[in-house]
Formats: sequence, C-alpha cells, structure tokens
Amino acid sequence: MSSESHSAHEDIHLPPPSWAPLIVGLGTVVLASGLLFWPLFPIGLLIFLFGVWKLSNFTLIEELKPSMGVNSRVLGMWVFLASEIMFFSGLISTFLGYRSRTPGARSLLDVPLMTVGTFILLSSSFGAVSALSAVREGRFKAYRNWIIATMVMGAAFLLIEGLEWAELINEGITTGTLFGSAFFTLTGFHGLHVLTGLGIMALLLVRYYLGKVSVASTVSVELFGLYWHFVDIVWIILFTIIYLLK
Amino acid sequence: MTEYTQQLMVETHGEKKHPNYLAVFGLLALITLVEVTVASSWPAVLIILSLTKVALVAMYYMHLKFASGWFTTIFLVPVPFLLLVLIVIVVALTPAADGVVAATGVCSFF
Repeated sequence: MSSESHSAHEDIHLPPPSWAPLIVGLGTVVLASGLLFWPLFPIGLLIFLFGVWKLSNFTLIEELKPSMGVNSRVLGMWVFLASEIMFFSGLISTFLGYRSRTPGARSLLDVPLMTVGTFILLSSSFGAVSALSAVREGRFKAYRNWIIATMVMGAAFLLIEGLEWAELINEGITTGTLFGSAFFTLTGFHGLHVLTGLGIMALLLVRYYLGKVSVASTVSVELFGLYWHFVDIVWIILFTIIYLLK
Repeated sequence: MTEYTQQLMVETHGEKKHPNYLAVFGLLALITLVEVTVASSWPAVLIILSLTKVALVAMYYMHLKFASGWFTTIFLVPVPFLLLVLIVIVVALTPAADGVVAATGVCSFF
C-alpha cells in the first residue's frame, strides 16, 4: 500500500458499533409516551438513563475530532442545547400569548416563593461549575460533595415548584384554563429537564463510587455542566416572563 | 489522555485560571435581587437584567468566553428564529386575532 493512501486512511476515524444511541432513542420515545400513559414514564426514564450510561463509557469517542478542531461530544451537546432553545421558544411564546386570558390567574402566582426557588437554582449552577473545577484539579472528594450539593438544590427547586403548582391548583387554576395549560406545560417541561439533570447527577455519583473519575476524563462532567447551566438559563427567562413581567 | 483533556489541564494548571465563579454567583444574586425589588415596574430594564444574567452564565459558567467561537455561533444562531417564533405566536394568540381567525377560517388549529 502506498504512503499516500496509508495517510488518507489514518484520517478516517469511525467509532465501533454501539447499541447506546439506539437505547437512548428508545428510552426517549417510551419516556415521551409516558406523558400520555404514566406507567411508561419511569420505564422510559430507566431505559434512557441506561443508554446515557453506556454512552458515557464510550471513551473512544474522545479521540474523534470534527474538522473544526473541537471535542465532538462537547460540540454535540451545544447543538442539542441550540435545539432546546427552539423547543422552549414555542412554549414561551404560547405562554406569553395566553398569560392574560384567564382573569385573576397571574395575581395568584407566588413571587416570593419562586424567588427563593430562583436563588436555589442559581446556587446549584455555582455548585455544578465548582464540581467541574474540583474534578479538573483532582479534588475528587470535593467534586463528589459539590455534585451532592447540586442534587440537593435541584431537588429543593422541584419541591418549591411543586408547592407553587399545588397552590395554583387549589385556587382553581388547572390545565382546563388557558393560563393554566400554558403555565403548567411550560414549567412542567422545565421541571422535567431539572429531573433529568438529577438523574444524570446520580449517574455521575455512581461513576465516582465505581472509581471511574479521573483528571484525564472530565468531559462527562463538563457535558453535564453545560446541560445544567442551560436549564438555569431557561429558568432565568421563565422567572422573568412568568413572575416579574407585568 | 486526549488532546482536549490536555488542553483543559494546561488551562487549569498553567497561566490561565478559571474565572472567579463565586464573584459571578454574587453578581447573579445581586441582579436577581434588583429585578425582584426595584426593576419589576420597568419591563425594558427587567429584560436587560435577565439577558445580562443569561450572558454571565453562558460566558463564565458555560465557558463560552474561553472556548471555541463555534460554540458561541451555535448558541446564537437559534436566537433570530426564537424571536420570529415569539412574534408570530404571540400575535396569533392575541384576542384580536381570534376575530380574524373566526372570520377567515385561516389557521384553524390555533
């Protein structure tokens, strides 16, 4: 074989076959079906997280670099986040269109409660970035502690959002009203994203306790961080348009 | 160890250090406080403050300021489409639009 064709073959990097992407896709479909038939939701979530787990062990993909010279996994996450921007744009627009259609609904929103929730979510973003900083510097116990703290804050945010939902439903604002359907869909999908983040953090903790964390492979933590900060960014926008904008 | 990870380690242990995340958090908390207490009466100020918070999180926590320009491009490309969706849907869902829809029978799924 000539040296020219040998160097041409060196530039072609194909990952080995893997079931992981198919499992993630299947889990996503079952998870989404769970919105219509709830028993499928936990089943889909488990399949989805299992697929993510398999993908996170796919270390060979770190060697693959697209022509822009950036890490391919990080690039994939940014493209995903761009698609999420479009996803939330539809929900935000619908809420803005329907927010004044149910008289008196907006006066029932608990601004102080959700302000506390906002501070908690902002703090969790600080926790996530501190976890990344710790793992990059080889401070693995600190990394574990920051991930646990971020999980606790994420769960606290969901609890506070649950309290807000309960208050509104108690006052008769349900999905049967235009405001209610837009509000619960918008905050519900955001809450689902927070819940997914909690699941990913649980996976990160499992990897820690299995001794799979090292300074050499911190991309998984960075990918989680990007996702979690994006969820925080979405809440920054939602908090403003739902609770503050008159 | 991959080249990407090596690059990250140079950034951590070399001349470059990570931003002061605590200072960024303090700024985010302060802006939120201003939003809730003072700025809620001025929509334009509220929007500017919110976008400032988004920029702080994106630039410092998501490291957009220090990473490849490709990531900033990918993050910003959907923004015009977001604005377009916002305008179209909000206009279509206003009560005034209901009369137009009923009269013309256009876009019945709204």
